[in-house]
Amino acid sequence: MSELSDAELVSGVLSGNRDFFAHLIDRHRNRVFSVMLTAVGNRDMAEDLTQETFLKAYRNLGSYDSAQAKFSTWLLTIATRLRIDTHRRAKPESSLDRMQEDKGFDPDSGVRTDRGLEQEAVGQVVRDAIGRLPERQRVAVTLKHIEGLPFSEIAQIMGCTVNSAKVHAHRGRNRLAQLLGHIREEGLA
Amino acid sequence: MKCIEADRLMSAILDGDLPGSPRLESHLEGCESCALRWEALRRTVSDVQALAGTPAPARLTPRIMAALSADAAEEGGRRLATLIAAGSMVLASLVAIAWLWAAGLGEGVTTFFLTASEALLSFVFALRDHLAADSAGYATLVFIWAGILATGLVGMAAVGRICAGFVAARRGVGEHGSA
Ligand SMILES: [Zn+2]
Repeated sequence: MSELSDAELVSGVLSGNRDFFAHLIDRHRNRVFSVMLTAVGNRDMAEDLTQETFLKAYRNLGSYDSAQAKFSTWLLTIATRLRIDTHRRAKPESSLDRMQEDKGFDPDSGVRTDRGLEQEAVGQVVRDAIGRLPERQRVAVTLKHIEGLPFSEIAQIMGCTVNSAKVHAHRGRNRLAQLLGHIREEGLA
Repeated sequence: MKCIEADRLMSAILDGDLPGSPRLESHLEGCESCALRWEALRRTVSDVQALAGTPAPARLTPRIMAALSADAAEEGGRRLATLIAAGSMVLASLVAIAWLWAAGLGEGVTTFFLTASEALLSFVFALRDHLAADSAGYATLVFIWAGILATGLVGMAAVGRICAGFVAARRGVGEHGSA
């Protein structure tokens, strides 16, 4: 089973072998979950959204064309759209806000100077900062620097050109550097 | 080199298009603002990269597969509900058409009802995926359709009766006049 390609597993599912889909989930759940976790910053919500992504993929499996995209790229396209749709419905409370209130956290002083923050909490602050980026910048930064995808795939997922994906990543990094307090100056392009 | 070009090189390196740049290095030695900026961007990227590799819980696979089965069962239920709704509406329309024929009302009215039923049926099928999978939605549709039919029938019966009365009265007047 493990030696079957994604495309072979997909045709297996389409010809009635539903269990093959479990292998596709096993192969790709980490990446989808990671993207969702970065997007929503909450494990429960990320699990729900990961499940939604796979259900949606299952329902639309017939429209997947292995000649056009890798299965993971197709899956992340679904995940990205799903995340945009749910984001429009509800904006979760940011834990960056909570931390700033609770611990007197000062973004100007920078995350790393606050020794009281645990490693995981730092991760949460970074996630929240990413969550504050405009949608396309967030997607580009996440897929590039967390998932390590090449820009050709990122462009495919975002439905834009490679150059525009790079511009989004560039702007996202600059904005993030400000949000994380690494840069004070405003108006970086 | 100008700072704007240094900025471009920084992006190319962070994008993974360039492994490094001696020209950038020498610019950074003489330009404090670019050096600070480069340091900030590198820290930002390493902060973000540190988020990588959070694994999904293994229970997610059986959970999704279970949801998939539930989804399939729900889809079956939805199909059945659509079938029942469509069937009831066809039946109601047939009864209405039979009644109209028996009442001797012309083909035009029958055609109207046939067209309306057809339109409504395609509407139901188009909505199939959007209607919450509950049968309450379908029950409402069938109810509305029955209401439309009943109102139409009662209305036409009333109009028919008035016309019949009018014709009878005219006939009565005519007979009276010829006598
Ligand atoms: Zn400079």
